[in-house]
This record gives sequence, structure tokens and C-alpha cells, in this order.
Amino acid sequence: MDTNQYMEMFLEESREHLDSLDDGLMTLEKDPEELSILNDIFRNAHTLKGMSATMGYTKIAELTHDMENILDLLRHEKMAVTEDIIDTLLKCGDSLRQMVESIGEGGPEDVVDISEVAAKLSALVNSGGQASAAPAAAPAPAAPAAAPAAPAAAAPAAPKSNALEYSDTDRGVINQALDSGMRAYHIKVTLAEGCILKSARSYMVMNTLDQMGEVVKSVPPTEDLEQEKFDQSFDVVVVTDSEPKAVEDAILAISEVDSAEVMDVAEELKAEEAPAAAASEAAPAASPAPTAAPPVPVTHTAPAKADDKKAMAAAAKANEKKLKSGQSVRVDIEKLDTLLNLVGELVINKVRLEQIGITHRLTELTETLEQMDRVTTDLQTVVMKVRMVPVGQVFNRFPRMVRDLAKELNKEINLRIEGEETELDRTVIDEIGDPLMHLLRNSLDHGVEHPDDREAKGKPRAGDVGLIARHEGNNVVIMVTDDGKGIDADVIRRKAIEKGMITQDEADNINDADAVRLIFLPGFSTAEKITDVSGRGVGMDVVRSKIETLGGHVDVETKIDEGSVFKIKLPLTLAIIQALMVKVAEEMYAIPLGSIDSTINITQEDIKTVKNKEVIVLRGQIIPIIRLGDILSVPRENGEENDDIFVVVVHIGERKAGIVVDNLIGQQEIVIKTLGKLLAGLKVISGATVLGDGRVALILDVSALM
Amino acid sequence: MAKAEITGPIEGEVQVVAFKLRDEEYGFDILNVKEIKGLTDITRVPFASDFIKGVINLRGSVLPVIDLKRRLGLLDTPYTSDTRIVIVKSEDIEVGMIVDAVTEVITLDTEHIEATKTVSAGERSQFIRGIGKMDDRLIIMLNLDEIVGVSDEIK
Repeated sequence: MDTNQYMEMFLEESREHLDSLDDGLMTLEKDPEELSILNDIFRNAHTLKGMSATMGYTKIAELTHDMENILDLLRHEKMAVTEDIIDTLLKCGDSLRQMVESIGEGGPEDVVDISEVAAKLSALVNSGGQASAAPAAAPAPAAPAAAPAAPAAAAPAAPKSNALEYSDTDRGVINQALDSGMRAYHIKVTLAEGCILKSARSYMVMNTLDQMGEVVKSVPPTEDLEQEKFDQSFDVVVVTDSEPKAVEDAILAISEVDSAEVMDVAEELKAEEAPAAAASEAAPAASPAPTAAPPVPVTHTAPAKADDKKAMAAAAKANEKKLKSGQSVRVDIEKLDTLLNLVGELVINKVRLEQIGITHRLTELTETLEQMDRVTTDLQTVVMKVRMVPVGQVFNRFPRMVRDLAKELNKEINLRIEGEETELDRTVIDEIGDPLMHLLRNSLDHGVEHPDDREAKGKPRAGDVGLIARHEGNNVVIMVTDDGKGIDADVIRRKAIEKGMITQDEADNINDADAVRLIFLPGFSTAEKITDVSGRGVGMDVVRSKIETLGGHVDVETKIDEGSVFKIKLPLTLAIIQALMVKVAEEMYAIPLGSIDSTINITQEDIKTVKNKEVIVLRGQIIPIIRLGDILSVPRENGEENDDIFVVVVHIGERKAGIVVDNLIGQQEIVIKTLGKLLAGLKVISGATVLGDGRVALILDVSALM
Repeated sequence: MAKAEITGPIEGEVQVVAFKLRDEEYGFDILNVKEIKGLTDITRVPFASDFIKGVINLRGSVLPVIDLKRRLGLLDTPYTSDTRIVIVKSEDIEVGMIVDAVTEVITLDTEHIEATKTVSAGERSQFIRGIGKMDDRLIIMLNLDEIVGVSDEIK
């Protein structure tokens, strides 16, 4: 099978299932009694197994299969949920994720050695089997009962454990058939272990039976069979003229069918009607409580199967719910970009039409265009909104990380996530993960104290770490908070002096808030010892520069022993920014407003020379100047330079520079476009934008200029 | 897909967009040509290779434009009212090419296209795929991938 075309889908869905697997496991850890979560987890593992097997990734299928084994024991309460099990399952999830990502990058699936986790899994399965005595004995004898080798011999005993529920309609059809001399069979079809196309096989079975007679019912129902919502076996009730042997042979002729157990429905019904207590207890198999498990181990299959059915019913319900709530379409971001481009073009053409209307004094045209103006504006907003994604997509991965890290650091952490529905542009979402991860790690490692220390300070043992997103005007603010020990400004001052980043004098002159901000400077780290978690001195400055490239801003507020708040302010979108349009000779450039301090008007005399470099003095600060025309080698008519000089003062971090331009055009909202592959990696130019008159202006990369 | 430059929709035939650079006639496979545009405002891009004339706005997206004469090492001529920008697509790169004039779309017999090897190979031979003959006209078939060549020219 050519699986390439399904690759994208496989990767996307695998990731989704791995995410919910992780989520599920962590919910389970908090609430080990909640068996419905286990069913969800089981379904995730099961779907992953099915998908990977179909795609031919046997290692993933193997590992998920092993996970299923243990999950199955758990959800049937044959084993208790322990921390060890959760840890192992989470590790499995990690391995699976690595494999999936490797496949996504075109690599092989076996990038990680799964033998260790697999061994651990089977050890857990075995220990679980021995530990819990009575119910645990069940799985072994139950297996042969589920797939008996000689159905004829098993038949008389079977009705007890395998009996189906028959509705009055079912009974009507069956009785009618029996009266007309036909026979009714209850067939339990078991598919081969590792069968990939379960739905196809079940379809073939149903088709075969349809040809031999009439299918009365199936458990699970046909729709579920088609969607593979069953384990290895399913039950069918059929009325036919054929002999049991013929039916069995016909089904066994279908490949990947392990066994077909044909039972006489007439006998089942008889047994059911009989007042025998045992039969009536086993018949309504859908509802017995697990505690009411029959004393004999062999009959344990009945409640187990009931659980199975319940699980499947729950799964089906959950699936339905998902379908309803998530009515969405996946769209390639490129298509959205194209849409945005087209809308932009529409706006430009509209402006031209307006011009025509004005020059030719066509009132009707201008009026119509006013209407159109509203529509295009709405259209533009809608398209922008379509690109927005809730930050929850990034936040989702953190509970797991925080949990693992807290364990590693022997700390107790309550992660509080708020505002995950806040939306940000897709491009920002893709980039914001790493900085957030770093801030969280930092809070856990440096912020929150050890439980004992916290108790000594009269705080609760568990530290509170918050990850909060919310709108603030035209920005989105994401905060990472902790109620830990806070940042000591004096310690920061001392460190900064030690590292030669500031002088004693400077240290004495800056206030506490500014002193704390020194942590954002390159090469600063206050960790007493270098840990795996943070403290390699490459932390905060990387966070800061990343956020600044996103057009955002990061700040910190802290109070000793009360905690710290890291506040990231981000623009709603990266696709549209505010920029200052400047002119050099006849060329127009856009400078992102985020990096502009001020604009000043000076004369040639204000420019001094220090060490052969041109500088200006602005409010006592010496600022180097950059002549944009020279840097970009803008062609000029000679003698054009005038004495009035416009300088745009920009900053990147702490550094400032003055960019000399010929003219300031004004502030404007611009839509950022890439220059494409052919012009990728160009220095100083970060992109382009289309102006209202249809011309292209280039956007300057201020950091590359300095 | 983009490799199918010698095979046309009909076996043995290839449709070519023919255009002029100075006095010579050149051609691109029609399958690579997306549209032909009159000259519009071109924004110069600093630091780009010299054969890149700049960028234009094509229905809202920004497209680089190559000065084909400069790329092929031909002498510059001033733009006229016949000057056109041919928008072509090679692999996934879309780019405009400035040509002196677009003449017509012609159908060439693949048999009538001689591979460059037999033609004397000059300095710019890597850009030439072959030479097509039609009556007494010679049409130089260009190798788009090489002309766009993201390889060493850029950066």
C-alpha cells in the first residue's frame, strides 16, 4: 500500500493521541480510581497500535500492544494503578513520541531502544498477575474459554458465559425463523491477533453470513464494527438453513479469522427461560457489578466481557461527543497566507477604484465602494482571526514537564493554568513554547523552595506555579508566576559585579527592579550549582531575545519570600505589525515600531566622530549612527543630501543606535510577507510588505543593522 | 512535474513561450510559465545577487524578479513598452523574469530540439537546455532550474 499520502494524517493523529495519552495518564495519577480515564487511555493506545500497524511501523505497534496489555489489566481491576505503572507508561509515551517524530523527519522508527520499557511493562504485567490473587487468576483460564478450539464441545457450556441479550424483536425474528424450520446461531468470531484490517474482516464475515441467511443482530453493532470499535472478537446472531459446520467453515475460510464459535440460539433462549439461577444471573451480562463476580474463575469471562462492552459503549459515546464538539477543519497555513494575500490585493484594488470614483466624480461608485469597504475590512479581520490558535495548544505540554521536573527536584508543585483559550497568531504559538518552558523550569528550580523549607517559612508544602494567559489591550500577556523565594536584588548585584557586567558604582545606583532585570543579560546565571534543569547561564537572555524577535517584551516582578512573576507581552499577531515608514532617496523602508525609541531631527553639526565612527549625543548618551543610504547602497542623485537630518533611534536590548534617513513618512500598520526562498537569508532585510499603492516596501531587520 | 520540460501534452511535441533578449530568441516550456505581466514597479532589494532586479507585488504576494539578460551575461538594453515580466515556476520557487518582448507560443517538435552538448558550449551553457529549430528560426530553450539556481549564487 502506498502509505505516503496518509503520512501527514498519521503523524498529526499520532501526536494527538500521544498528547491525550499523556493527559489521561496524569489525570489517572491524580485520581487512580477513575476507571473511565483508563478506557480513554486504552483507546488512545489501541488507535495508535492500529494506525502504526497499518502504516507498517511494527515497533510502535509492538510497544502500544504491550501497553494495551497492562492497561487492559488495569481497567479490569486486575491490577491496581501504581506510580510505577504510570511512570512506565509515560516513558512508553515518550518513546513513542520520539519514534513518531523520527518518522516525521523521514527517519527510521527505531530511534529509541524500546526493549527496556517493554521489559519493564511485561515485568509489571507479570507482577500484577501474581500480586492480586483471586481475580488475577482469571485471565489465564479465561483465554481458552474465549477462543475454544472445539466449538462443538464447548457449545453446551458456552451459553452461560457467552449469552447475548435478546430484545423482543430479536426473539420475534428468531422464533419465526425457528418455526419455519430454519436455525438460529449465535456465532462468536475471533479475529487473529495482530489483524490489521479488522473492519474489513468483520465486513467480510457479515457479508458471508448475509449470503447464507439473515443477520439478526451483532454485538457490537455493525457501525461499531465498521469503525473497529471492538477488540479481537464480536458476536453475530444469524438465522439460516445451513448446518452449524457449514457456517463455521465459511467464516473460517476468511483470512485472519482465528476462530468461529457457533452456538445454537434456541438452546440459549431455552437456558435463559429456565428458572436456573446461574443462567439468569449471567444473561443480563451488561450490568453486573465487578464485585458480584462469580466464584468460579472460568466464568469470570462474563463480567470481563461486560466491562469490555461497557468500555466500548463509553468509547463510542466519547467519540460521538468529540465529533460534535470539534467541528473543525485542518487547513494548511500556506492556504491561509494566500487568502490573506488575496484580501490584501482586494483592498488595494478597492483603493484604486476609489481614486477613479473621485477623479471622475462618480458618486454612485463611491457610495458602493463605501459598502465594499466595510465588507473588505470584515473579511480582513476574519482571515486574521482564522490564523489564531488558542495558547492551550502550547500550554498542554507543560503539566507533564512540570510533573517530571518536580519529581526530579523532589519538590511539590501545583501547576495552575489559566486562560488557555486566549488566542494568538499561529506563528507566535509555534515560537513561544521554548521560552515558556525555560521560564517554568526556572520557577521550579530557582523559585519554589523544597517542601521542608517551605513548611519552615509557614507556606504550604506544595509550591504554586501559575501559567496564565490573558488579553491586555492589543497584546496578549502570558505570565509565569511562583510563590517561591523570590529574587534577591542584592544577590543579583553581587553576581553582576563578580562577572564584570556592571561596576560597583552602577550597582549602587540602580534600583532593585532594575537590578533584578540584570538576569536578562547574556551570561548571567545565579544558580549555586549547575543543574540539569537550568543554570548554564544561557537562560534568560535567550528567553528575552526570543521574545523580542517575536515583537514582544519580557519583564519580571519579584518580592523576597513571596515569589516572582515573569510577564511576557506579545503582539496578537506577527503577520501585521506597526511600523514607521521611512524614505531614503526614492526608496521606502519599514522599521518595526517595537524597536524604535524615538525620532529626532538634527543637523549635520550634531554628528560627532569618535574613533572614526559617527555618533550623536542624546540626553547624555552616546549613540552610534548608521547612515541607511550607505549601508543599503541606495542609488542617489548627487548633491541631494540636505542639512536637515532625520534620525530614528532604535534599540535592541540595551544597545541603541540612530538610523539616519532622508524622510519620515509616518506610522502604519503593515502586513508582513516573506521574500521567498530565492531571497532567503538576506541580511538587514527581514521581509517585505505591500503598500496601499501596490508597491513593495522592504522591512528592516534592526538587530542586523547594529 | 517540473522536470517535464521536454515532453509536452502531446508526445513528441513541446509548447514553448518564445521571447526576445536583444536579438536572440529564447523559450521556456509553457508548463513552467504561469503568466505574463507588463512591467510594474520593481523594488530594489539591497544585498541580493546582482541579477535579481528586485521584488514586485503579484496579487498581494511578493515575488523576486530576475533580470534575465544580466543572468545570462548579455548586455543591458533599456526597457521599452514591449518589456515583459514572465512569471515562471521552478520546483516550488516562483519568480519573475524580465525579457525584452514576448513573441508567441510555438509548438516545437522534440526532434527539432538539439541538446546543448552538440551545440558549442559557451560560458552560459549550463543555462541552456537545447536549441529548437522552427523554419529558419532558432529558439534557445532555457534551463529554468539552473537560472533560478538557489545553489551557490545566493548568499
